[in-house]
Amino acid sequence: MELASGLHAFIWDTPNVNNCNSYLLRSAEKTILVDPGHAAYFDHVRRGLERIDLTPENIDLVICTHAHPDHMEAARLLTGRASPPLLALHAAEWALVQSMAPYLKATMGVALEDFEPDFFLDEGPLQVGDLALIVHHTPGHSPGGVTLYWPEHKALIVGDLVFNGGLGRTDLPGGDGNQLKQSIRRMSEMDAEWLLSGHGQVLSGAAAIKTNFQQVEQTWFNYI
Amino acid sequence: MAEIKSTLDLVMERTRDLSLSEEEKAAQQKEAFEKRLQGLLQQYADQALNPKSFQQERDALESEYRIHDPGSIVQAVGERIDPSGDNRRWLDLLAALVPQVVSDLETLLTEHRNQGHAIEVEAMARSARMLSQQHAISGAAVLSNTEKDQQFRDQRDRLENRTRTRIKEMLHRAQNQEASSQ
Repeated sequence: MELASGLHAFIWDTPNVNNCNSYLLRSAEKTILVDPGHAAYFDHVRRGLERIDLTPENIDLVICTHAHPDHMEAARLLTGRASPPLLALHAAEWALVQSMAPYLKATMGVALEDFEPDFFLDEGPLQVGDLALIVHHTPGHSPGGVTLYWPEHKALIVGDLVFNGGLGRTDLPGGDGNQLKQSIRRMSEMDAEWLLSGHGQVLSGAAAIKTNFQQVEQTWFNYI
Repeated sequence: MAEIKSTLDLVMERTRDLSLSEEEKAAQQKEAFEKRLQGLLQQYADQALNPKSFQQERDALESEYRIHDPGSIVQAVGERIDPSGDNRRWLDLLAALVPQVVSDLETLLTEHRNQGHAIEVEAMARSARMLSQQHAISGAAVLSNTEKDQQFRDQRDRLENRTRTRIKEMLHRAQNQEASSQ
């Protein structure tokens, strides 16, 4: 689904299977895939790419908003290629993955080297060819969670920080309720026309997004 | 009919003529001593012992095994030093064992840190250049992952090995001086 010129959403809408939404940011020069999702369901992204005449080979950079398997696992399908896209995530997230390496190997057969980031993301501007983004470190759901802001479309790609009508859980390794609330409050001040979450439906329009942030705070903040 | 023997009988029968030579006994003693010494060092690392109580425990261990080998104890402490880590505790212990070496060791570890930092800065610059020139990726949000840089890893490993060798030599020399002055 093309939300705006060059901004595509591959929404995961199978409620009985956990996987994330993926987003594609495309310019004349570069193509960025955000959160490729679970490896087993990567065909969902592949089909989305085909609909816009792309293949995974056209992706220049994969950014993971955080390193949970439902967002990142499929990255290994891309990094193993002869000419793989680069992979980026926050350093704190990589530290979390490294600390969990034995479990990942034992439970999912996943080797760390399949996911070694080419570079880390920190707070600040990120220029990828002619595509200009701003990276915000938004911990809470995960210690190295990031939110990407694309000023050209006023699009906020938040991962599992906040959803349409909800917020990210904090009971997974490295989760922190206070950090989550702080991160959500920071992002609520952004000038956003698109709220693109890791799960659930896309939210559009500045007013609807502001209302969503307010409702999330009123409804959930006392419980975390 | 053959005699029915218990397991213990069989073991006793088979080991009846076995005995250790003096050298084998000494080697076995030394091995056991070194294992216990590593245990003491771990207790020290875990802050269960301080330099004074470590020395008391070491003295007791030496008496128990009738082994007096200050050189191997100093080297065992030296092996605990991580050139890139925080070595304050090990330097404190060495200050109690071979005080004359501590200042030189501190200088060596500072040099190691400075060289390690220079290598890392160089690798980060190299990575930023590569990302910018080959992939048109730049900006304050970009932090290098130096672990992806084979040249950096090789340089770091060489530096680490060189420093470890120098620590070993330094402690060996200090130990020899200590022994010859007694």
